[in-house]
Amino acid sequence: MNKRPEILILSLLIVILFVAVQLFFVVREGEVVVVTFLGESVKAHTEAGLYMRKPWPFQKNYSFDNRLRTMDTVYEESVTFDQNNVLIGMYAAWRISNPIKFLQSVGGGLGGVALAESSLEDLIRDAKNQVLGKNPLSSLVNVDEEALQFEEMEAEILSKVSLDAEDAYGIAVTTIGIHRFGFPEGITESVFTRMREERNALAEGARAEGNKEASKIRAEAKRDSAKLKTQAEAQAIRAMAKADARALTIFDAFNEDPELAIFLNELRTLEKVLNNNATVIRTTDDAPFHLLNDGSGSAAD
Amino acid sequence: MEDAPIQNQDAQRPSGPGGGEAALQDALRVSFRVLRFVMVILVVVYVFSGIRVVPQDEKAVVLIFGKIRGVGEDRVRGPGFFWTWPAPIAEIVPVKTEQVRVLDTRGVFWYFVDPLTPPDMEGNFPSGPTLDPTRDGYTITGDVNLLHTRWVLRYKVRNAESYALAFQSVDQLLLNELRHAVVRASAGISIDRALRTDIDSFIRAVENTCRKGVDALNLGILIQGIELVGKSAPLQMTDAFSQVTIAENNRAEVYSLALRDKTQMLNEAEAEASEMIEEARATADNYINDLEARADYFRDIRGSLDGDSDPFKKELLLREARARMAQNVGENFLVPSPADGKETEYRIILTPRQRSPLKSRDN
Repeated sequence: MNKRPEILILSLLIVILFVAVQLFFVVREGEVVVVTFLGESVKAHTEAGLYMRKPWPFQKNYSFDNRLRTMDTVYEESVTFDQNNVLIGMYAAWRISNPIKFLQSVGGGLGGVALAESSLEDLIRDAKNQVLGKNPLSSLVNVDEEALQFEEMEAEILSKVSLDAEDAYGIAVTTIGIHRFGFPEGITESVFTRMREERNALAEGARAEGNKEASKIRAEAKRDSAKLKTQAEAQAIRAMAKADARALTIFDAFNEDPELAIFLNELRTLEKVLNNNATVIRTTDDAPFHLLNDGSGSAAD
Repeated sequence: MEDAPIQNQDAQRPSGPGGGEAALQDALRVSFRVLRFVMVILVVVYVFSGIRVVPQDEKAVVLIFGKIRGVGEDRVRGPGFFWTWPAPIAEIVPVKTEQVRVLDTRGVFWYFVDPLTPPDMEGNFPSGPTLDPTRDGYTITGDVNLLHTRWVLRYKVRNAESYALAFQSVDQLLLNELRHAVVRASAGISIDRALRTDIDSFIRAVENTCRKGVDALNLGILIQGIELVGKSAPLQMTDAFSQVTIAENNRAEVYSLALRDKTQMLNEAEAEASEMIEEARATADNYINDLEARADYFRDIRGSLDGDSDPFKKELLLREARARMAQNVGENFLVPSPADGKETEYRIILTPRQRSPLKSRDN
């Protein structure tokens, strides 16, 4: 034997490996392992690391992925408080909170997880139908944010489901939300009819509003134009008033000889009136035409 | 030369019944040597297989017997190389932290398009009278209308440890949060705002709701942006929505025409007003200038009359003026004076001349 140490080492390695597999197991991060002794759950290892175990057939380990996972419910019909049929699809994020209870209630392996999700879906369906049955459609869709109860309804469903899921299956549900929301196919046709009517009304409204706005703008323009002209007239009158006031001071000069002033004024007026376009009718008695008459005399003006 | 040692070995081998045993011993000796060599090689390979390289765009979490190795920041390894125990003792979980990941809602809220049916001349796909919930996706808006949208979310991993080990599928969780956010944001907004007039608010609402959900789950990611890459009213409603668009365009056109008319009217009024004011000012100035000139004229004449109104000089002044007038008038009618003192009637058609009241002040 001493001559062949490699055989010894190899044999030892194989034995150690076999013993290690039989006596140790690893719990990976994000995993949880439930240990059963002779078929009875005795302990759950939730911390990652290397653990000792009793050899088969005394101990059996059930390993579960305990990372947060998500599941979708079936997109199915529910009825609101005001008897509207709606289709709702929900999702939930969950993980195992009580591994022993989880194993006992749904079993191990992939079948256990599938059964857990199926059971969770039942809980969600029940809670969703209860909550929807208490709320009208306007709580789910509304342009008035204050009338919306979206988050409140989701929170109520989560509250109901998480309690039941924890108690019954050892599952912690962290999130539940609506991720699909619609109407049954038959209802969409009537929705389209209403939408079409709304669109027609909107189109009509837009046309009427356009004409109304245009009329309003033109009326405003007329009013503003008239105002501008009135203001201009007022300014013109003010300018003339100033001129008249100035004229009054100038008139003082004429006071020195009013008779001459009036005479000159009339003379000037005559000259202005009788310009190129004037038509004058005079008799032969008027000066200087009286010179044409026999026995010329003084003109009768 | 090469065959000689073989011949010598053969010569040294014992012959007879003990010769087979010796040959077996030789074979075993060689096998053990090979085995020893292989074991050494395996040990070396095993030890060297513990050398790990983390690329520039990645981070890695090292698990020793399933448990994260390190404390605090050392729990996540940055780019570079290091040695750790090979499998099955250690496990490396790499995470691409610099990669921008993209999630797309695709057909979740979009209408079904049959790939075998081409669109019509205007690019519209044929549609039935209803939306089939098993094929067509949509959301319900706050005013109970149906809306098709398609969204894209871009994100990067911020916390490699959390991303790699705390969630079964971050993408699936994130996609559900995005879908939830779209349903929620649609439920609180009218279709016109979501589709045409307030798209930014709609996108912001989706982004806020999604971020809130992601923060609550502590997914260890950083959302870089959420984009609305497609939006549409149901195909069944295309004509009705087009009618509204046309009507709104008409409204805008009518409005714009009215504004143009308004501008034109105001410009004209302003021009007219300015002209009126300037004309009044000019008239006033002319009036004063004229009056001042007349006052000067009056003073000059009065000075020439030696301060006394001489009737002869005035008569001459009048006659000079008449002479000027007679030359300037348009038409002169000279009619004979009736000799017997009887009245004579003459009829002349005159065209009246219109003058503005302000202009008449010049006279």
